[in-house]
Amino acid sequence: MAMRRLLALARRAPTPVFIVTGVGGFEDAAELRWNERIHACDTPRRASVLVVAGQIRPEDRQAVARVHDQMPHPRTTVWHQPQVRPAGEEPNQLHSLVSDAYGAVLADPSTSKPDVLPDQPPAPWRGRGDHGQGGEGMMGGVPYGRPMAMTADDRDGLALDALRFTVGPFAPMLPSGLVLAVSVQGDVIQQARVERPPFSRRHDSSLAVLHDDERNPADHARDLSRLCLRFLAPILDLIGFGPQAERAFLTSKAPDDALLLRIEQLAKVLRLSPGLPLATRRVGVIPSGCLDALGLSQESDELFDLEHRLMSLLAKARMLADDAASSTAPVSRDVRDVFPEALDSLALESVLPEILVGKEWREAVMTLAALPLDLLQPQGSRVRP
Amino acid sequence: MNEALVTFTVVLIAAFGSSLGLRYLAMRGHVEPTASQSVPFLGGGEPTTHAWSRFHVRYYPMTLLFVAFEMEMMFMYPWAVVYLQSGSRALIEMGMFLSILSAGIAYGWREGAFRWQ
Repeated sequence: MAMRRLLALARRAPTPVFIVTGVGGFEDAAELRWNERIHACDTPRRASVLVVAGQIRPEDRQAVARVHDQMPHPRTTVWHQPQVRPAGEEPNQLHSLVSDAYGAVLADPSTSKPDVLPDQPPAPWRGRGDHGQGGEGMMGGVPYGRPMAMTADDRDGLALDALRFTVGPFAPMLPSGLVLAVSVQGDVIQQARVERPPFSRRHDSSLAVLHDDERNPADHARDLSRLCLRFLAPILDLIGFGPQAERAFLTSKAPDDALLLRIEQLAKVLRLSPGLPLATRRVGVIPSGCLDALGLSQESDELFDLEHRLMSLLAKARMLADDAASSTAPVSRDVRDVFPEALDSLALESVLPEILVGKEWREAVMTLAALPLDLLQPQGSRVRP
Repeated sequence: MNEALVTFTVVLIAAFGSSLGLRYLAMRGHVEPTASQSVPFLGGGEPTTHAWSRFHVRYYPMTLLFVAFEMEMMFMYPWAVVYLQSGSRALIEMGMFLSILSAGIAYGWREGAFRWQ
């Protein structure tokens, strides 16, 4: 009786979801994430529903299985394939699908999905001696088959333990699909290597609309403006400005006639926020050696920190909405003008180590989030819905 | 006194019993975590190294120095209170105390204890 009451209450609460984004699923994942009936979790341990939006690579299937197994019972999965919809059509009802799945598994916990990967214990603790004792490291031996972090000299001449780990394809703070092997000392990244590039965003439905040459320049400008805002939202969320991030996302869905006004309101809120400059000034600076590879040109002492990128993104959104709303014929702008630093996912391998090395982990994550990956259309091809 | 003891014992047993009982009730549905759930979340990957790493205790020499001179200050506080009444005798005694400690300062200075690098 009490359990039924609790279950009824649980069903009314926002569904805890862990979202795995694949190729073509970025739009739907973003819609789901900012839905008020969905609580997008940062870790599968707090989630009950695993949503796989888009297509994943064959080599990532084991990662999806592991993320699934890391969710506590009762759990369920929703596989969502992207559908290209014409602009202006109603967004999909993925959130209601997810909520229904959650309700079903709550009502009958025996339908909770079983483990996919075998429940194999890690290798036993093994040292050098006959009884498993001895060896390097704090406790001696190789605990559970995994070596301990050993002391190494860092760049400042100190000696700290160098911890190596590989952050998998579906870390919520990294671009989806990126597998990054890092070595950190303390919190500072000393080495970084891209094992697998992030998923391409070329087949997003929103980007297909952008590269359509026959579009009305005003609509094109408005779509670019909305794209800027949808790009701004996750960066603000990562910095810690959740409500402003949600506001940015909702502003991107404003009707055409109200878009400019909402953008100006958002800009005012961000400008008056005392914490935003503190969180973003001189944070996430792209070294000047990487600017050419990213397609950026440095003017005098301009610092490419996170504050600069956020404010320029907001200014671009405002300018494009202004273009669209102005009575004179709006200027037709290319995606390349709006995002000069758009970087091919595959070219990331050469640039990323130089950008990340020397940064603290959190700063590195925010720098990565602020790089617009894979927005450029390759020459001579057109994405057809 | 007897009543107080009895009351105290009853309350103690009730508190212990209820806490143990609540623990038992809470742990009834506990499931042992599987192998995948026992490892840190790495976005779908498996950890290749152990998560334990050591951090340098950089503040240790500063702490030792602080404690040493703090004890010196501990003697100086009551001395400051009785100084005016005791006159020059107190001054001479504190001077002897400080000279002994300054021998320690000179030694530490020579050994590089005050160098931050």
